[in-house]
Amino acid sequence: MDPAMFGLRLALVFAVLVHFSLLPTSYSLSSQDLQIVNAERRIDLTSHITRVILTLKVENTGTSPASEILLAFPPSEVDHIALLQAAVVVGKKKKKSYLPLDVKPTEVSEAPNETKFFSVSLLNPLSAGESVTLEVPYVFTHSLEPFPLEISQSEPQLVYYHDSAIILSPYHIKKQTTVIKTPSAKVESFSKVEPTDRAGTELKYGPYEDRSPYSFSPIIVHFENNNPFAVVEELVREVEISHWGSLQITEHYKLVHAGARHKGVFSRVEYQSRPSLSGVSSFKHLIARLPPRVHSVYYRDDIGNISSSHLRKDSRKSDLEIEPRYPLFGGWKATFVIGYGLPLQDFLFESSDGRRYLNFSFGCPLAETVVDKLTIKVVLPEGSKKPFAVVPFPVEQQRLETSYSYLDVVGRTVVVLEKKNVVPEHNSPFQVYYEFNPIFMLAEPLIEKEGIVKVA
Amino acid sequence: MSRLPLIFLVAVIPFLSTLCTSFSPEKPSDRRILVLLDDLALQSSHSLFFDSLSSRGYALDFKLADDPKIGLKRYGQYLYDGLILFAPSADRFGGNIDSAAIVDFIDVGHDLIIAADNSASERIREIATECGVDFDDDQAAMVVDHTSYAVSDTEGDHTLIASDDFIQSEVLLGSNKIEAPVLFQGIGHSLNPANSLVLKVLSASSAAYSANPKTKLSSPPSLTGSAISLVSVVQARNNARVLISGSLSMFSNRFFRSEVQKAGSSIKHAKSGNEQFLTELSKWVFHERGHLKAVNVRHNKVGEANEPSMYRINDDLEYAVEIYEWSGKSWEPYVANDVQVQFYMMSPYVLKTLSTDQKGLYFTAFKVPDVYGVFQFKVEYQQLGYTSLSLSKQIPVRPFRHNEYERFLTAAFPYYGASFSMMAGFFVFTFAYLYNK
Amino acid sequence: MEATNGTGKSPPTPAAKPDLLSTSSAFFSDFLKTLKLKTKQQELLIRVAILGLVYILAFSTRLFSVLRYESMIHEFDPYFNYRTTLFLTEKGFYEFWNWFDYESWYPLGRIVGGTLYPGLMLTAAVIYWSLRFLRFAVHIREVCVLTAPFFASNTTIVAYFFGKEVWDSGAGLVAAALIAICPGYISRSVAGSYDNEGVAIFALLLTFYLFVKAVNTGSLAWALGSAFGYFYMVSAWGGYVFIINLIPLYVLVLLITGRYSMRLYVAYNCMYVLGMLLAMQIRFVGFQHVQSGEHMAAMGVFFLMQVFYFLDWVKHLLNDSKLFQAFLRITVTTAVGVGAVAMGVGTASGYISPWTGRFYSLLDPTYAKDHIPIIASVSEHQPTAWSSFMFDFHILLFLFPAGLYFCFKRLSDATIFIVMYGLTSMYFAGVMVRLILVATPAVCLISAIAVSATIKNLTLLVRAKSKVANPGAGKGASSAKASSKGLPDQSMPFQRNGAIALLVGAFYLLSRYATHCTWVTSEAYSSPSIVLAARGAHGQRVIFDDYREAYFWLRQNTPPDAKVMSWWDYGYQITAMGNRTVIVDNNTWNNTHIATVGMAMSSYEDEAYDIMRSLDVDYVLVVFGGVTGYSSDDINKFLWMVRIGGGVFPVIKEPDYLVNGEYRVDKGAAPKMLNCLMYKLSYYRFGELTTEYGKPSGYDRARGVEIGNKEVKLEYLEEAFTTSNWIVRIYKVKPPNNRCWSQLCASTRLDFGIWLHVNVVAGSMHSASSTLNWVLFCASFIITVFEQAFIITKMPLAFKRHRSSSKANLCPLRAIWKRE
Repeated sequence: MDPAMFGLRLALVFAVLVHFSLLPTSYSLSSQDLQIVNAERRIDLTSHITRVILTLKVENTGTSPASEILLAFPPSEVDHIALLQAAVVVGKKKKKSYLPLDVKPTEVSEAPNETKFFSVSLLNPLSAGESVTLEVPYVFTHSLEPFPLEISQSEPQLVYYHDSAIILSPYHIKKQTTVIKTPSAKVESFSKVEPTDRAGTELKYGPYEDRSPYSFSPIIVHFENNNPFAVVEELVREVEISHWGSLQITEHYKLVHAGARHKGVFSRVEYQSRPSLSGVSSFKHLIARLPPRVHSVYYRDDIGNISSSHLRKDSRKSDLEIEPRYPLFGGWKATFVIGYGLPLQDFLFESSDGRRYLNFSFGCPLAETVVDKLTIKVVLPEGSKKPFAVVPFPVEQQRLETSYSYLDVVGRTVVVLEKKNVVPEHNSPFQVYYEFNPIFMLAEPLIEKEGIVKVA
Repeated sequence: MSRLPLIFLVAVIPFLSTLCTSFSPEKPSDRRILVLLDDLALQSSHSLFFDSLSSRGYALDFKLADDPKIGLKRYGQYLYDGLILFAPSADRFGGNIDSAAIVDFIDVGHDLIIAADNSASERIREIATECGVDFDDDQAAMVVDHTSYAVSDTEGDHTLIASDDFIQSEVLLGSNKIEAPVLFQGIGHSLNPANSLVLKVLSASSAAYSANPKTKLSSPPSLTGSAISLVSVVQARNNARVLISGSLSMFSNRFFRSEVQKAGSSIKHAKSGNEQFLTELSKWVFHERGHLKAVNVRHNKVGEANEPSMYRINDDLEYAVEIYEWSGKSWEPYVANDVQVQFYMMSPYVLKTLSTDQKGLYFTAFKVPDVYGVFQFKVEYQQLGYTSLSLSKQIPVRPFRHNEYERFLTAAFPYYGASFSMMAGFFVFTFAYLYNK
Repeated sequence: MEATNGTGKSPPTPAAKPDLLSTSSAFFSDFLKTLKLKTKQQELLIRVAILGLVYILAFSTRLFSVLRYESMIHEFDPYFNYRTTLFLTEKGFYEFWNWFDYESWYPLGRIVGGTLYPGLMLTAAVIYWSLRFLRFAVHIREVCVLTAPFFASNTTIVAYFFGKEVWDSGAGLVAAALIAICPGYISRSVAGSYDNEGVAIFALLLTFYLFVKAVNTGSLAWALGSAFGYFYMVSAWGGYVFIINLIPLYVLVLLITGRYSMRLYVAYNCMYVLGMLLAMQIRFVGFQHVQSGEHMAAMGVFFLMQVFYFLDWVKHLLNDSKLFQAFLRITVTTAVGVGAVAMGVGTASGYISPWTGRFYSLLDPTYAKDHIPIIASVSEHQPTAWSSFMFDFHILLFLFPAGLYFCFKRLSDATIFIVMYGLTSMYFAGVMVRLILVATPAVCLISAIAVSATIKNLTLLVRAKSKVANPGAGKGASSAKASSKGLPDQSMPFQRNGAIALLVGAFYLLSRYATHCTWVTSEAYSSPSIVLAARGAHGQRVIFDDYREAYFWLRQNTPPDAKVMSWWDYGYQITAMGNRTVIVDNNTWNNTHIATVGMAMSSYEDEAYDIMRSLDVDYVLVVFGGVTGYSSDDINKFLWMVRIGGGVFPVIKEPDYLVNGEYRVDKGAAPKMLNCLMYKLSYYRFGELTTEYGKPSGYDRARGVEIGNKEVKLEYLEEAFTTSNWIVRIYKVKPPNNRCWSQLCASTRLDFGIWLHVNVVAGSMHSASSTLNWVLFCASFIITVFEQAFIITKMPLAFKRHRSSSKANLCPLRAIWKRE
């Protein structure tokens, strides 16, 4: 499916998602009277981020109404899930629309070989005989395993994708199909679970009829994927609010090429003369999608400015094309810092109760990258009080720190948010609320004078 | 295009299952062995040898040398831990195997048994040369020995040799001595003198020479006497082991079973030494014996537990390492009295023999020399037949800090005295000058 | 010429100052008339204003590189200074003092705390800490980058006071203005050139100023000040040896010219004793003040002073002159004799270390070339070419003699000092390019004297006439009349016009000087040799950032304990930016170790392999300009590697790399040249590349030839990384052959290892004898005399040499090269 459509849906889903807790509620799978009439799964392997859209038509064959629907995942996949949402589809072909649903992980008592579950709670319970169509988009990271593990400069990058041909589900599935989309037609091998057929870049498993609950048949797809496996091992974003009208963002990146490791020599001659053949899986530049009206952008690392970057600005966004000092081959690392300023009025607002709040986008501005560990530090102006953050999805950690910058006396409150396994889909706005007394704005000039007096 | 995936599929799936049981430092003995044969009849004619292997738990995979499907590795992963090359006459191999591939196979640490014959092909000779062994260039030449041949009822051309000139090493040939001589019929080879990793395990007698037995000797033979090696082994730097034999038939059931009487000796052995000799040797080649590992190397200041990042000159330090030997089933403590450690910076400053507690732990203590720099703890242990251990651990040695020198030097007391008397004198004189008129 | 005549007739008086200033700044006069200030106040106002402007100018003219590139450290040594400063600010002083750096000079390591001049780092750290205390969240890099300009500005202030002390405040102001923009000084003090000289020149001038002040006033306080100035100088730069030899020389001259006075006695003794004791606190200097030949002159003069004092006293006691004469004779002879004996004994017994090679090469420009190739190999140690004198001094070169003339016209203790400073430093500047730096302040001061004296006289002439034209032009004019008494009134009718013409000429010259300085600063001295800029095909600016590309690759993608072998020039940068262990670096304290690397680079691959194995080398880094036409790459430095290597290892012979005395890399090159490691590493797979249209593949643009060996095969190394413009190439040393252990090479390797060890470690041992020998004083007297005589005789010779030696590698514009 085309990414635009996908993005649209996600946006819809995000828009109304509420902040929910991570506490798994224990849940007994008593009512086995749901069944899935039709399941369709589309797995998109074109980048190194695996995006799956699962469409379920669930029917309540029992007597009592069911308010929750369970989604099952094998334990190996669960810790790779970066994002999982669900929406119910209403309306027919033309005027289709999606109502997002609440998803939370649950424990199921009699789960065979530690299958992990998420429960989707429907808006209104599904009474007997009725059926509902669910749309479940979810995103895996690190689910493509490069094989061979080491490649030389001239070889393409081959990866494995492990999954099950039959959708793992606690319910009886009447009819299901799985479509796997590979970046190119170059597929080394794939497991066959008849009926299986392959057309161009699409692998089709199924349709399979009447599979019993928890049926599972492992498959391996071994295919060529030369897309940049750009993974940011650690990203620290510092957002510094100055009420003198600017928002200063500093982002510290630890970038690594997480694909098949580079083996043997790196020959510049090869790389320069035939770029199509050598180092196809390497990448030499990335695009950072920055907000519009960005100014004073810089791009440097520990040993100074990196002179290879281009900024293209237009009214809606600004694209910063950054080029690490050297092309990144498998396993090579690069650390760098991107900094830029933004006009304050675009991001800082005053809420009805007089509080100020910052509205800024979570996640990593680099396109198509996975962030293993993201730390966001919002540095509030000196003297601001009672800060708290609102994030549309669970974060591992929230805490407060204090930092000192130019001419600070008491130091600035820093709201620190940490999240693991972040994907581009997480680039949705979050808010930080705090109370601030404008009188503090005058503190710095005064201190400045003090300082000058001291110096002189 | 549609059939291609199928082929890959059959290849991929089984091999995935075997991936986990590949060669590992934990269990160094090999598991999966590829046997390349000229024709599959060898499988039965040499069954005794193969059976002894499979009975010891090796999975043998018999293939014809020119089978197009064979391959040593796929996607950078090796499918086998060992290779037995019983295809002397194969001048080309099937699949993606060639002599370079086999050499790489050794270089990543896998093991190899080559048996040549008087019809040894160029490929075999190439591989042997790569390992530091040169077969006799003359294609038709065989090792002939008119003094220590195996007595047989028909007076042959004395190419069937009964040799008992073994290398003296229990690690290679096992603890119990081989009584019966070993029957050998094939070509001899010589060792590359520049290569010190190759060993002569079974050498010909001093009366042997390598020539074509069919024809008369026109010129003196190139290889003569005990320079001729019948069976040699190589242990590479990365402890890959290679067994090279000039005779394929010595592995055969016929030779295993046949009785042997060495010319000139009255003793007639009911059974040749081949079985014992080759079985023991194969144990060594496939790392069932003589495989050492050194684990948790430690060093610390005397009286301190944890390892410092840097020593100071004249520190007293302790060094310890544990060495174990693989017995084929488990790791047993290795006992020796000749393990040495060097404290090394471009040349050894300290060379100490480690003392052991018979339970695998080797330890010593010494004083850091009075020289600063970046030193290394080096253990270079090479014993005949054993895997060579070479451990090196870098550790900087710093000079004294400003406050680590002794405060008052006795030698300097005159200077102290001088300075203090100077001060006193100054004071006195000023006083005198100012206050007496 | 009339101008100078004029001065001769009218010795300026303090009263003349206001005229000078109010006239020399004519455009100020009416403005000053409006606000009712007394002349003194006017003068003060103007002086402060001018000084303030000069201060700002000196700082801002050094910021070209920051504006044009970025705020970064330049060149090579500054990177070491930056690294150590970082260490100091992170770990604190004691850690820094005891720092044993095992990342350089593998495997010997380096006691950083004991082998550097900590003054610079401490200065930067103190500035950094104080800014932090004032809550300015600056980065230490910025502090380091701006340290040099800051101290340059301070130098101008010192220059003003010095000039005021030597001549008058007018000269002081001119001196400040001149030194603020003098290229000779700017070359070492632009923003980012974070090197010892940056602060050292300030310290040097301060010491001299305070000493002269002390001599003039005879006050202990000033002498004490100069002692502390000297201490700072010693802590900052090895050039302190210049001070400790110049001041005794100066004192000696004063003694000889019968200018001995109590003021001198106080000033010198206090300065010497305290300065010496303080200087001993610097680990790197230690006991050299009493043990090394370079410092003996000072000690000798010190004791000579005592002898003088003693004689004075005796003379004062006995008033029989004949008796005194006898006594004098005896004392002097005995003193000299004892001194000579002591010196002889000291040198013989090794208590007094002989002069170091660098010192010799200062006295005799040819010395280094013959004996110490490692010193000669550094381009900034070459004898100076006239061109660079012109380049760095411009009109000062002509004003300098005029200034000397003025000084001689009005001899005083101070002028004598400045004259001697000027002459000696001028000589040293002739010997080594880098010492132009030391000469610069003196040249500026003396030229300032010339300028201010000339202009003053000219203006006097002008005003002398103009007062007739408009009588009652105010207080200034009347005093001008007073001062222009001596002038023959109507005798020279064109005198006034001549004066005006000369004035205009002078101002024209000065403005030329200013423009020249600005041009030089922006073009030549403001490029950080890390980032290279060139003009592209269409005249646009192309940036080559290859150095940092390679260093950062090392930092990110090699194991942390990897050892990198490169020519020593890049050692500091690799440790600072690449953060990896190096074999040799720019601190060339162990010649053998460097020679080993030179030998590895210049031998065949297999021999080099053994050397590299014995040094545990993991990566080899070479700099190669063949693709971009970058001329200062390793191939062009290669002959020095051969020489230095051959100096210790006779196996390496320079002729093997030359074809009948000619150094070439094309087909006609020597076979050994075509197959040595450096050649292979530089040109590996270069033959496949076409660098220029219409040229065959493998055309080397730096040398302008097609290379001779296009099929370079590497057996023991493999290409690990090559930067985008091929300027830096990094190779990985392969592990030894798996299946073959050649007993032969193993044994040779061992021998070589031990042999190497013997040499290198022996080379690294420091001679540590700690007893003081106070008996060796008098001899230094003689030594001083000889030394100075030597210098004076050498002077014309040296100047002759300059004309002959105009080397390409001395061109200060080496960072700018066309890329047609």
